[in-house]
Amino acid sequence: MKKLNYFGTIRFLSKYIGYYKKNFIMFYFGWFFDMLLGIVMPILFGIMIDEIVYHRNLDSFLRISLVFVIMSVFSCLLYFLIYAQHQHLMNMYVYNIQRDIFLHLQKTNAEFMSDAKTGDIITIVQHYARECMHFVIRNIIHITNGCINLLLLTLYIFLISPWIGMLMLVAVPISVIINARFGKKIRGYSDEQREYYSGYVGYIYEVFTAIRDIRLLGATRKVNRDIVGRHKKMFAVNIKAGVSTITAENIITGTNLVIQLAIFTLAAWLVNRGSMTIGLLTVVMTYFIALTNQVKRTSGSYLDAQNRVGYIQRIYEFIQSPTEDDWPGKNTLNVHGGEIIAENINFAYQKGGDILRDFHLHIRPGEHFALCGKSGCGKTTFGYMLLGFYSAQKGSIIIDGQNLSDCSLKSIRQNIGMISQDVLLFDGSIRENLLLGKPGASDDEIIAALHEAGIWEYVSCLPDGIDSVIGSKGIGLSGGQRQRIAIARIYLKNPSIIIFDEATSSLDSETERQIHGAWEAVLSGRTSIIIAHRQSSVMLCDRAAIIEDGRIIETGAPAEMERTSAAFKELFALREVSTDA
Amino acid sequence: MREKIRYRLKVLRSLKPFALGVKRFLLLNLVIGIFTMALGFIQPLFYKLFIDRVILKREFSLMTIVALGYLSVFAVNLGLSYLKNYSTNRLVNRVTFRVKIKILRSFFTRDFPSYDRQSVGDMKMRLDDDTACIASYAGSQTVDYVIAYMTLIISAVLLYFIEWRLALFSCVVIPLTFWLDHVIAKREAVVLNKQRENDQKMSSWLHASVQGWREIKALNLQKHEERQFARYIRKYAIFFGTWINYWVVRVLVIPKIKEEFLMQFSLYFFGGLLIIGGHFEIGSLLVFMQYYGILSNALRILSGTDADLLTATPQSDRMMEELSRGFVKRRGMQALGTSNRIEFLDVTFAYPDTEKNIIENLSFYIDDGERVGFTGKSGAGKTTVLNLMMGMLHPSSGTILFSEVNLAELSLNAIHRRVGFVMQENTLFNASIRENLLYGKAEAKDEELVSACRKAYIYDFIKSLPDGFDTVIGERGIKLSGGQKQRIVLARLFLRDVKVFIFDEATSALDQYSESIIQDAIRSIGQDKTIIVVAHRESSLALCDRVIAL
Repeated sequence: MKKLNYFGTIRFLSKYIGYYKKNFIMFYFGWFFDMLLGIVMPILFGIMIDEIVYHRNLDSFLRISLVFVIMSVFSCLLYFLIYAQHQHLMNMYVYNIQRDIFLHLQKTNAEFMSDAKTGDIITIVQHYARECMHFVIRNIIHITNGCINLLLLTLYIFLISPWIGMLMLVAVPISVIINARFGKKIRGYSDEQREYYSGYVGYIYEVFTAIRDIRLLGATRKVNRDIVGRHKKMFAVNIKAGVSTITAENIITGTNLVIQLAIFTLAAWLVNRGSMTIGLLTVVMTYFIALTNQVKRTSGSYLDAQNRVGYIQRIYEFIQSPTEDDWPGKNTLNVHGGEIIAENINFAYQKGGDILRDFHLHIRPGEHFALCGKSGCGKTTFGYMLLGFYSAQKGSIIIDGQNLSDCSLKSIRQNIGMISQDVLLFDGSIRENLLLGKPGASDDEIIAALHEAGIWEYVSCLPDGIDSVIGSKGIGLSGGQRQRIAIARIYLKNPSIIIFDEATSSLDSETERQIHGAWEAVLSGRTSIIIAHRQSSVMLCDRAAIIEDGRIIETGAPAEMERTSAAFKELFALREVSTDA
Repeated sequence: MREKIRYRLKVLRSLKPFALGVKRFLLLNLVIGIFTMALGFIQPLFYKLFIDRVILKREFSLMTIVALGYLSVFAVNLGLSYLKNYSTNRLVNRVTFRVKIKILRSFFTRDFPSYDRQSVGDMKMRLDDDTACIASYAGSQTVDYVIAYMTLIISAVLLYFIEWRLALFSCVVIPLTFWLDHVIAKREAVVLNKQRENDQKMSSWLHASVQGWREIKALNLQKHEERQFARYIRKYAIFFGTWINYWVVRVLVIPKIKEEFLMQFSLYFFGGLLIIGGHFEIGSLLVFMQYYGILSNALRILSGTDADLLTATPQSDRMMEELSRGFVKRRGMQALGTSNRIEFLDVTFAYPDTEKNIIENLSFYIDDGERVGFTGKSGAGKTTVLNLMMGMLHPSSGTILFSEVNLAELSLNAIHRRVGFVMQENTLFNASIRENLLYGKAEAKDEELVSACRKAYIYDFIKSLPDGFDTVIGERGIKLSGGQKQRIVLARLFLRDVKVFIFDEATSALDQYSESIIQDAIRSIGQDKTIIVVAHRESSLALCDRVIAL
């Protein structure tokens, strides 16, 4: 992947900037005028003071005051203008980038998504997109204007007095360097503090989470001792950081004081020679502060340009990650019987070894078929392949005579439904969650679906019925209830083929029975694949296959296998307990 | 106003017992504050000297005095800053430490059911974040507050004496800017709150949407998600359009008016008029402006401190609540006998505020060395029975005997010393294996660790790790498999040499292979130890002599 540098970033963003050229130009000139005002205002002030002290001409004093007032008002209005543009650009330019990221997110392929971290993607969508705006403001506009500002300020000081100009050329860098050096030190100390503190907080959380266990273990004394020790260390770190911070601050103040006194002395000497006034002295003092701040800010913007290029690089990489658009199939999948044939399939994830090898499978129309095997044997992967999440390196999957890779993903997913292990329910009402299965379903249909899934009895008892809010802010549902809601959703979606990925975690037998009841209603009359972890689930199927090392090693009717198959027994029966070992 | 001062005193009073021996540092801070304030008033006089004499009257030789004056003010301030740091550290660290230890102790002695009512986050907040307010009561809320008041009064008097007309004018202006600030901040807060809500909703939606990518693809929901995204973004855009105006006013316009216009320009303007009229000196005007700066700074501190007090009130209240909490004392402590017989006599239990009895008239006994299983549907009260047995819950009626003594009259610690738990989810700390084992017995020797781990069938595994006992296991032991974690927990129990082992669904989340290893380990526990197994899987109960169904 290409690495973006500063100019590469500008090139990447220029596509988006181009849409709003006019706004960006106005935005730039807003900031440019703001900078010019920052230069002119102190000069006006100086003239005012000189007018008071030396000339004492009331008329010209009032005139200058009036100009000052007008310029102040103008500068306030300018801010509103600048930020009106800013707001417009945030909502258009940033939104364009955000939308492209999100549209891409909807298309990314499964391989990429299963490796990606949720947090990373969220940061890219929510935060890095905004960095694209900050990049333009801070790293393009402010750097450009900052350089112009530095040039003009220095020029004016040299015009006032070359002596003072020369003093500035020495003093500003010293002030900036001292500030930066010791400022960095101060930040370093607080980083150290923060690091230590976060370690401590992690520990405290662990302790409180386990407070019952700690008491049951009789380990309170040890924990107490640990906490006291950690506090002592933390106080020591804090004291060290505190003293060092004060020292650094004092050094910064001291340096600035010395520079200020140097300027005072030079000014006094110049006044003596008659080439300096009080007004000019105030201008010089203001400019000195402005210069140091400007150097600090400009170098700061330059430094964080690096970080920001990194953020934008992440966006750039993300929207170039592989998508499902590469899927070759265009035809529409038509399922009538629901016969599934897997021929000779070889599959491996990009990172890692083979998952499926010479995988053969034939599922007859309308059959309920169980896939069993130890975790990691590839049974879930096969389920995902049926949904078009992954495509085989070799071999093909044929459904009712159509090769899966010739069909469009949309039609595949319309015809094949999956209920996954950890059911995803969205924050929202039960109704909304079910409507995702079939947009526009009527209330009667929804109730019927809930009924078939065996959860209507529960839902109807809720005060808000199907409008009850579930998810992170709503009522908490048990694992079994969530599964049944998902079953109802699939029932509404009404796909011709259903894949059921059974949860590994144990359910009590009552819940298990209810879920099995729900299956029968939903699965009847269609081909279904059950990725089974429990024997009781396998027994409900017409046929079962055992997968080992990416291959099917045995196929047969469950009742038959239970009696005759050693592999089946090993998988589901309790291991005989050995007394030695 | 008076209320706020009273509140400050109340907090100070509640902290007083913890400040034994360091109270004098509060006084020291006050003295330092007064000196710093005085220096603040002295410095502008050197500036006046510089302008009036050095610049205007061209007495260049006086520059040395000006420079010396500035430098000595700096030097004294330098010394004071270190002294203040020292004194604050002594005071705050000592008090904070004592307070935290007290809170911690009360956490550790609390009634067990209270842990269910209090989240871990809340406990952490009470221990750590709330006590952070102590620092403010040693500085900004008390000493600095008093100093700011003194500064305010002194600077106002000085301003009046320098030029009363100007002083009058500026005293009208200041409240105006504060009022303006206040109004804007209040309106902005409303908008911001709304946005925060939207932001939270969007975040959790986005989180679910990214995590649920499989579901979204499988259900063909991409278009739906895009629409949802656009909706959230549009809401954000509307918020941003309103908020940015408040922001510009608060962050850019008001400071500009305040600092450039009111504090500088208007003073120069009116001061200039007075000077041109011959009533006033430029040097005095400059001093006036500097004192004016001091005054408005003091005002800012006062209003800021009051606002901080308001926002910190919940914190301080919670802290005082913790400080006033006594320790839970148990009634008459009976000594434990040698037996570990556990007996329930007609025990009934219902959680407070509920009608339904979880357990009704339950009676059973478990003798020394027995192996007893409990089974029942989820919700039948298996865990409740265990909690009752350990004194973590109290029966609504009936009696529980441990070692033939009523549980209510025993020290819980004594029982806990004899009983060890292995649960479905156990606590392992994010530390080394050794450290985790030492929670069982802090002073255990290496040989003891080895033999305990052998008994728990985990020694070979530990030995195979490159760092052995010093291997750090991840947060909550994520780097270990479920079975390995259980075995380490079991080893910890062997170290503690408990008499009663309780396995609470200890193996129900494990695969059958791991379960069987643990069962082997359980089987090898000595015959004199009591073993209680709670499980809904029949295989887990295989080793029990008898099973009690709930």
